[in-house]
Amino acid sequence: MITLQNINKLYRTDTIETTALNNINLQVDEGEFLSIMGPSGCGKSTLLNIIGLLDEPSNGKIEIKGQTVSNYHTKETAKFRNEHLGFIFQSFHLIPELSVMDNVQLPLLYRNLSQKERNQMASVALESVGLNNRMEHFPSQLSGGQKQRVAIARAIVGKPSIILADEPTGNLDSVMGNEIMNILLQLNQENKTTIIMVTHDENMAHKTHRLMRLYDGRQL
Amino acid sequence: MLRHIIKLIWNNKKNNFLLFVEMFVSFIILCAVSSFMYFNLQKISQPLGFETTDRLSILLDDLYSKDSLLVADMMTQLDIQLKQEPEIEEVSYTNGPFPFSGNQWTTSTENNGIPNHTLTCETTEDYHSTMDISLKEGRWFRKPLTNEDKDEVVVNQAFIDKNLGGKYTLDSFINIGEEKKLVGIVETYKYNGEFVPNDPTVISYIPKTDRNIMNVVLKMKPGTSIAFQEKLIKIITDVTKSTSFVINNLDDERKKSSHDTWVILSVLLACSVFLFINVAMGLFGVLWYNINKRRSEISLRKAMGATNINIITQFLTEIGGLALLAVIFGLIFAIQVPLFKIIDVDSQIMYTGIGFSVIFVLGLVLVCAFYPAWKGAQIHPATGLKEE
Repeated sequence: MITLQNINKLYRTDTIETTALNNINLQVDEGEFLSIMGPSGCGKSTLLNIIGLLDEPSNGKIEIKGQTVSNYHTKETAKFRNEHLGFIFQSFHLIPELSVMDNVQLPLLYRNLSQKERNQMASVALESVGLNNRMEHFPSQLSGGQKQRVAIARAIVGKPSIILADEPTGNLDSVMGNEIMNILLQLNQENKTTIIMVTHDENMAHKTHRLMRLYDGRQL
Repeated sequence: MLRHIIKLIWNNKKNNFLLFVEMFVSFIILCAVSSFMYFNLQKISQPLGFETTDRLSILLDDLYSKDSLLVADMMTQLDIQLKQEPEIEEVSYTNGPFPFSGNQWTTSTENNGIPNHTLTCETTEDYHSTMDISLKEGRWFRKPLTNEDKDEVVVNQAFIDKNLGGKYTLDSFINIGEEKKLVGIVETYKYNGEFVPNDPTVISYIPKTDRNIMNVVLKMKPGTSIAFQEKLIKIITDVTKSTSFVINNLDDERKKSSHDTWVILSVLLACSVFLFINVAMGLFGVLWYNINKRRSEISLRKAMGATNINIITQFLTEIGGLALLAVIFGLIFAIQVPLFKIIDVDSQIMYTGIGFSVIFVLGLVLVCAFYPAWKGAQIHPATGLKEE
């Protein structure tokens, strides 16, 4: 499903060169739930961004669903992200001026779909996270857990085969965190969605199929 | 997508309000300035209808209060004396509304209950050759004049269009308070200056011996020295037994008559340019700030599949939509002026000014928005998503 070969990521300034990822090799199977752990600054989010095509590796090869995506141009990358990848972020990244319904529809705006189709798909996604009664609310009217559920609905609305979650429970208390984790587990089990999750929480990580640990940009 | 953008504009109405007001006010000001400019440009694009180079005008003082026989004798003498001078090519005479005098003589007639206002002036038979007035159709007053000729008139095209509805027959009689025979048509005759509209005007005949004559117009030989005016003063003083007259160079008078309007136009233009530079810089600054404030939103959209073109289009549509709303709101007010004839200016001029303002404001907004939108589209999603 996802193959990373010899991925390196270097950040260069005029005077300093920082290695964020050092020779990462990773294979994630279809339907697998992988968690990535490590101390702050070890390169977890950088790795997730590279898998999500939000960042480019300095060298190495990325294959997703049999396609070498590391060679893609900007436009192809955008299309691939839209069709195959869903993102969940620690700080939710909801647009405050848009209602829950409109936030969830965001990925669908970049597909050739009618308003009716978008509404239907967004309603289904919101229902699956138990927020069908909050469609016209705005993010400021929701709790942290509800905001993250909206973000999950937005991530799954386009039916992507891969979900990339960057500390999805990081801003939530344990009850809310468990609630979100259960939704992700359910998505993985019922829809066979491949999930890669960055987390600091050992308990959450142990609920996933596999745990990968990073330290100073290296796989342990 | 459009619906999505309209929602963004509407849900962000508090922040967008000031931008909306700025664009609305700019649009209204531009409508007024561009209409005024166009109004004057249109007037100046129409020729005066006569020549002013090497022409002198002599304003005679109060012949009307003098004995008519005395005036007739005096004017005949003056005519003979002036025509003897080799520097003078042509001599003719007019009544009060002479070139650049600022005087107006208006006659009002009714056509099916609609009042027709007509400027009238009277000239002698030599006036068209003295002033090089070219006739569009027909002829000037005949020389020598018969009694019948005294009722002849020459009109401008505006008179034909506005007062006769474009229908006319040369040598037929028209009513301008009294029946007059239409013998000739000139395209324009703007005797009060370039910025005066080409209003309906009737030129009728006045004999050179009439005591209503106020002005002598001379066509000088090219290159005649200003020193000749000394001789001219002596001739006039000797004949009229008066020093109460004024000699004017018509070229200078022409410049003087337009001077104030040019000053107003220049000041307005300078103010408008300054205003729109400020508006453009303000818009650019606000859009730059707004787009920078929305870095994480841009990154999120890119993560969700938006291309650079999608981002640029979104921001241009957002600001373009807001500008369009401001312009539509402005149009509601601006359109009242020509629609209800609030000011006495040709509606076509107002519509042109409004049309220009719509294009200019929308164009300015899009030009100012393009660079910030393009820079926004270059934001790297991984970087923008780290920002709150």
